[in-house]
Amino acid sequence: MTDRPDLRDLLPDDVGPDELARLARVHELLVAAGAPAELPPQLESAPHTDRTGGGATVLQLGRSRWRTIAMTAAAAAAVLFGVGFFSGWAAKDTGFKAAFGPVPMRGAGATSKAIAEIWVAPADKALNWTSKMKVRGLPELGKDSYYALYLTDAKTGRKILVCTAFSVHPGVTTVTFNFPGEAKDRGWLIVSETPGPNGTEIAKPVLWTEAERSSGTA
Amino acid sequence: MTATLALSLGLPAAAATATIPAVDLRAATDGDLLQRVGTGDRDAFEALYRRYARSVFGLALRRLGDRGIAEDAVQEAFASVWRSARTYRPDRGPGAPWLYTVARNAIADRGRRRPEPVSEVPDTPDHEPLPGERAEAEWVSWRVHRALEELPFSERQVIELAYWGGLSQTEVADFLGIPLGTVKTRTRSGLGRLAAALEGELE
Repeated sequence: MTDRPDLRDLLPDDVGPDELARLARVHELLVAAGAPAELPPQLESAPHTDRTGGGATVLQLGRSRWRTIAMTAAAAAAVLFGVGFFSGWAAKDTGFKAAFGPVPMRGAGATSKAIAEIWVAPADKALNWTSKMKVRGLPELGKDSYYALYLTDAKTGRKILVCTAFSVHPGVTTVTFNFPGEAKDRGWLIVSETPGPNGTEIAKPVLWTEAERSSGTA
Repeated sequence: MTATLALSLGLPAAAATATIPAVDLRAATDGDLLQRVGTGDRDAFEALYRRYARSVFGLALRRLGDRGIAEDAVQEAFASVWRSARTYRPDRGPGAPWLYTVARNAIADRGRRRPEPVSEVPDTPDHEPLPGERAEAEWVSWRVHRALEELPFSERQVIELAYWGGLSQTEVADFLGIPLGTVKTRTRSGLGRLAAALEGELE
């Protein structure tokens, strides 16, 4: 964001002058520091290491391999099942009770300012996980194009199944979806799917979950 | 989450643990982790990577300006950390500055290997910051972003949305589905924690 937020607007009205002065200095540091970089999916995991003899070497993946992993994708994100439990989808969504979330999704490049968050309700007996996603900032797509949300394997980035397809409107778009089966070590990936030549489709990753981003407490 | 679970498992009873007691890696200091990495502790390396990958990537992006090259630089920086962690001496200072120096050097090395762009002599004054100023700005960013990572997610979330997400507080409240007052309370709490964490930078 290039606009500088007004500190006074960010805080409750009862902040006193001393505290305000202290927070103003942090505010200046945040503005000066700029936005933290978003880790691309291919950097979610540490490089492989090996120790031979007395010296240590790191076995790095070549860039092309990283790219392949990134494209297949998605998201070496870890998901957060078992940690950071959070109750509470929006109060106004009274019919939906989240067991955990939000699981944030971020993009890079053209979609670096788009955001999405996923909340997951407790599974039913058949292991159906009803979920809701709020997404903001993705561009509206043209005719015959849509976004697809994939469930991914957090360890490999491999797409497991498609959860839903959707389009967006200005502001916040809310999407309800379900995914079945195992919920441990899962991530999500949103791709834009647009018509390509000769009846093909061009799929481009736009948002993905990131490791650790939801492991804090609510 | 796999990594978190792995971290919570503690350390194997390897020979190294005879001199470095087992600790919860998530609670361990940077210096503790570096010492463990120096003994070849892969779990400690993973923990350190999780803490610093985003900061190192941010530094590399600032320095190199190319995402692909910055990604390579991150790997090389952590390769360098893995190789040289044995040289870290806790009595000479905490781990963060040491790690910053190693990462910065690895990124600079990666930058030097780039082909020089063909450029013309500029006919306007150069407004780029001086090297010292740039180094200072990079260090401050590094510290601020690291401190952000340590915030509870709910506080970090509202701060990131307000400062870099392009959302007003009302929009943050709408997006998260929480009252505006809660957004402001979390922001206040988060900024307060940052103030405590960044005390040295605030003087």
